[in-house]
Amino acid sequence: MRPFSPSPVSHCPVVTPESGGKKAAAPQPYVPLWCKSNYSFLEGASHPEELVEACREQGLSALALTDRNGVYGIVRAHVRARRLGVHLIVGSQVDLRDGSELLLLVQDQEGYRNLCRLLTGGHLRSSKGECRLGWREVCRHSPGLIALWGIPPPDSGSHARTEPEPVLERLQAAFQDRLHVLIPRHRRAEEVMREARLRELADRFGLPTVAAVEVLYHCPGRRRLQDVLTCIREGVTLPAAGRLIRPNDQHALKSPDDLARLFADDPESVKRTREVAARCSFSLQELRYRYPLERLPEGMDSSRYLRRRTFEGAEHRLGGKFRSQIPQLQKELDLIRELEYEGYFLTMHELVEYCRRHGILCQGRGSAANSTVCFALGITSVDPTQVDLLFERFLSRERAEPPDIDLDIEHNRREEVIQHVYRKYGRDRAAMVSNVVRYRYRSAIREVGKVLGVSATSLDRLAKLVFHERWGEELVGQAGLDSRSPALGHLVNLVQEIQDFPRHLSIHPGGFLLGHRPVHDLVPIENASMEGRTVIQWDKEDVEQAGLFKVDLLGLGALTHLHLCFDLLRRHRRLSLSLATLPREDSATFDMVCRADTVGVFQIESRAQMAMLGRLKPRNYYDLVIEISIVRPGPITGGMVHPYLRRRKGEEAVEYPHPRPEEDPGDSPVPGAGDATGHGGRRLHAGRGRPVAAGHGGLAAFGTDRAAP
Amino acid sequence: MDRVGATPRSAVDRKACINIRALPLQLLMRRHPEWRQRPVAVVEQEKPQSPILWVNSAAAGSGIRPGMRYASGLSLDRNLCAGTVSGKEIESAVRQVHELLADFSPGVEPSQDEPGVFWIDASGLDKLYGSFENWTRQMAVRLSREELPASIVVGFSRFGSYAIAKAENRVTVLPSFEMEEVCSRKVRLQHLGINPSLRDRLEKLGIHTVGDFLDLPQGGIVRHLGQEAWALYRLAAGELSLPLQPRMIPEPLRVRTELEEPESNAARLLFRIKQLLDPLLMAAADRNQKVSVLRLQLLLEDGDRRLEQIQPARPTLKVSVLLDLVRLRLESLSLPVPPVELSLEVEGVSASPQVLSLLQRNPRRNLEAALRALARVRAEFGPDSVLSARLKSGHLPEARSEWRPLEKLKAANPRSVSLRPLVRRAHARPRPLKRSLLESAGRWKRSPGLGRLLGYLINGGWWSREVRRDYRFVNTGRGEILWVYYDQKRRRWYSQGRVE
Repeated sequence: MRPFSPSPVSHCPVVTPESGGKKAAAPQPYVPLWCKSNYSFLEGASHPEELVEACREQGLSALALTDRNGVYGIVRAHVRARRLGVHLIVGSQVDLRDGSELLLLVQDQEGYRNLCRLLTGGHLRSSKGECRLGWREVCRHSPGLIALWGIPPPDSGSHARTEPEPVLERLQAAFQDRLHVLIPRHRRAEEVMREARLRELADRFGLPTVAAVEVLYHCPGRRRLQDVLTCIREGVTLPAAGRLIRPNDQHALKSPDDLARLFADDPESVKRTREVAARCSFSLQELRYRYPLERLPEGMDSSRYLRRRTFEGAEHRLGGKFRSQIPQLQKELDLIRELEYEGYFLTMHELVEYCRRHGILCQGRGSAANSTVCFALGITSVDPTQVDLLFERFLSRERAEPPDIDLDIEHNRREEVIQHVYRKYGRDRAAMVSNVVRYRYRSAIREVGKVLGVSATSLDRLAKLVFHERWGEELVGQAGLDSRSPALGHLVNLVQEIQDFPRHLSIHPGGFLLGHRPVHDLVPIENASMEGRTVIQWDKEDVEQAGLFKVDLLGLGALTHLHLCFDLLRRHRRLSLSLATLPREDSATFDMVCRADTVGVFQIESRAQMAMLGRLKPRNYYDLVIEISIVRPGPITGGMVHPYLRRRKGEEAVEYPHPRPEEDPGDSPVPGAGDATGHGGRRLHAGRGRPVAAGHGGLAAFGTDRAAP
Repeated sequence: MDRVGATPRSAVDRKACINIRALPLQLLMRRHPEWRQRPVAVVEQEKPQSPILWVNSAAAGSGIRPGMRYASGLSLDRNLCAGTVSGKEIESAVRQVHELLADFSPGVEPSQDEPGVFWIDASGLDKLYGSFENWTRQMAVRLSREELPASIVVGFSRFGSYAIAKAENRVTVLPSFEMEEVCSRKVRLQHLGINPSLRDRLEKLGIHTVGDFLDLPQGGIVRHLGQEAWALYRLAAGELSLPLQPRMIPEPLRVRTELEEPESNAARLLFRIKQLLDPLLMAAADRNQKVSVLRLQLLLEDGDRRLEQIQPARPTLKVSVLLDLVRLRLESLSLPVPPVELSLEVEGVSASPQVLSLLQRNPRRNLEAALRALARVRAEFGPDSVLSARLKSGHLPEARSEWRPLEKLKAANPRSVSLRPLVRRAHARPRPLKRSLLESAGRWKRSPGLGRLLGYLINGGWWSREVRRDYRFVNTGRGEILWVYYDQKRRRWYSQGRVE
């Protein structure tokens, strides 16, 4: 007789009667209802996108993303799921006060709203990073949600304090047929006893069971990283982690075959995962977002009021040029009305007015400077008609992106403006956008290395070296460490894997999300580490991807300095200046700039900028635009700097990448480094095909060293 | 310059200073020989902000100085390697050098502030060794054999010899006090173990050598440079020069005797031990110590040595208690040949009467008797015979608990259970399953009690030694439930234990 031994390669050796010679039927696909991405901070070990992609590769049609106490990763997962045609179920694993956990899945819009409200309530009453809910409030928010009960406590040794029977009674009364008992299987020793108890309770209460695996990573290879993340979270090293880390690698997304094998004795529970998924029809696309309405004078709608304020402002700021600019204003206002962005412009206008009333210097920056409407409303101080800017770069029908106006505010008075926003819209309709702090090489080396037991001094040496060198085994050798040591070998791989993993949330420097309805109906709000501050669970990119409007109120020290200068000029020289009336072509200033005597001058005080100033010798506004645009990573690494300088001096002919800009230089936008300035690449050159004369600095002077003759 | 307070030295009053350059650094280099060619620093703690305590010449060449933060040192040279050396390690090395130097002079004083610096009374040793050069050469050879190269200066004053030993890296015998003074004045301050901030301050003022420092007007030193500088000044000027204070190395409480004839009778051996034990206990009592461990070493007739360690229930000076335990041990010993020599060594601890009285309070249960009984068990079967189990946080069955020597006996508090649960009884070590059992394993699959759920999987430990075990509970059909696993790394079955 051949000795019995399970296959060494398989993680799930089979001893079941089913496998005893009987040919198994093709497994029916299931839906993973319990998946946590790396947005379950320091718990999940895969990006949401990786989970969605793995789901698609396994031939699964749907996946529930149930990050712990939040919906942090759903925007990213939603974008990828839409592209791959995967049905994304939104959900969350919530922590209860008694130490229990519950899985909530969103069925419809009402359910999503309830989930966001529930999470907001739990977060706001807890300290940062925590969320504690009571059973009663979970039941109160049950409409539109499906509850899966039966998550084992984190440490198998501990148990929830509350007896299960009263909890199940309460949940059943609230969720009715939307309550299921979760049967998790991870091939752990204690699961047998626990499952028997769960099934007994399910029978007694007449509750259906659903099969589940707690998915923490998309492939088994990420198990090591999951162990490391657990250790970082618990502040222990791997050898000391003991039962804090999972006993095996059974937390990967399983294929239908593997799950069918795991639940071979209970195919009904597997089938029920599909039924549950079918009931969850909510998609993030259904989110209806409306920008808050400003208070309007009686008898006026926002469109008419914006038009009135724009024309009043334009008449005041443009003076004699006002009439000639009416068509441009009309064109911009028509587009704003068509895209229904009036409220956003009125909000920005109101904020600028508030700053003006309170003597706070502020200045819109970025692509908003391309808009005559922004100039007229006082949001920006650059007259776009003077500097020939392109409005479409700011707002266009084709791009269908919400406008993005960044408002720079004197840094020491920004808090006043933030508090004004909270007062005006209320804390439930205004919340700051979060910033996801992610692992970079240095932080990863320090934290992963500590978990692996590498000495702090060695890690410090590596962290300092990685700034100069590429991460890898060679770097470990350069640091005088033995790259053959197993711990350092693991460090090399794990540091690479953990790159870009979210670690925790912090506050975005100034991004506000404003809503017509309470923001906590759109996305959960939680406490930030700064007292009195709350942030939403999505960052800037998520907000943009979700098509929500964000107002950026950024602090800028240079504006504070300008304010002080204006005050001094007024007091000592009786000279009243503002950002709009600063003389544009002051030759003494340009002389100083050409001498690179610019320590303390905003934007052009770095060593790189100062080195360039001496060669570029800016003599007008555009030259400064080019100066700032060219000393950037893109143009520098793209080899544009020297060709530009040669062409600017007339030492090299200009070559066009396409004949069109050469034929029609006046209106052809050319993407390039100039985009960053708002200049948009117009005014391609001073003469067709001819080198640009010094001092004119058109963007056609850009080229690459490769293109140079 | 006339130095106030300077005392005239006699030409026969000779002192030598031995400087084992940066002793902790040398200990660190001994630990990491691969760092020899690299800049190395000893840091206080394994943290980036920890101050640097000692640096080697490669690190010093990069401008790294003691007193800097490790992170600052790293910014000067990113190849800087660093490590810590514990106080215990240093203490043990100092003791080792002290013992070594005691062979060359009866008066050795290790520095209290700088580990690695020793002063030796060298008076008259030139006569004994032929010359000071001979004496120092022999010392240098002994030290380098221990991988502790040192500079040795035979001089006249404590500070003078110290300063030159810190600056020079060789053996120097100074012929006269004047020569010592001339040489010590040339020593740069950075070589002395002075506070880094004072050192940097003096450097900024252009005071680089001991001579520059001694030339400063006395009156302004405290006012401008502080008390620490003033103390250094007085030390360098010889005002604080103390006579040598040799420290004695405490002799271990040890006694040895050769037996006239090989002794095979345990009672007679015990009697000889008692004779040796009495003076040892008196010596321990003189040191205000009680015996916590008694080591008995027997040299057997065939040249083999046996070491037995006996631990009383609590530190004691009672001969009867110790002899009783020795008797038990001797009775359990089976020696192939009789001993010809025996030696006893006691390890003492100081314990206050209050501490001892705390141990004696226990009204309800007689722990005292239990401790005595356990001491007897230990004496009879060895120190590892009394152990207690402790729970540990681990996944593998053998990692869930450990055996440790019983330190404290607690009162038993058994739980009352109505139904005895099934318990898993693990072997001390997993045992490979026999082939016959494996061959009958084919029947296991058909066993109705064996659902797939009864198995579980443990894998992990990837950071050191990876394990992959697939566990099963197997009903053999004879009423036995085996607890077995398939080791996927070794590709074979093991028995972890059984279920009872």
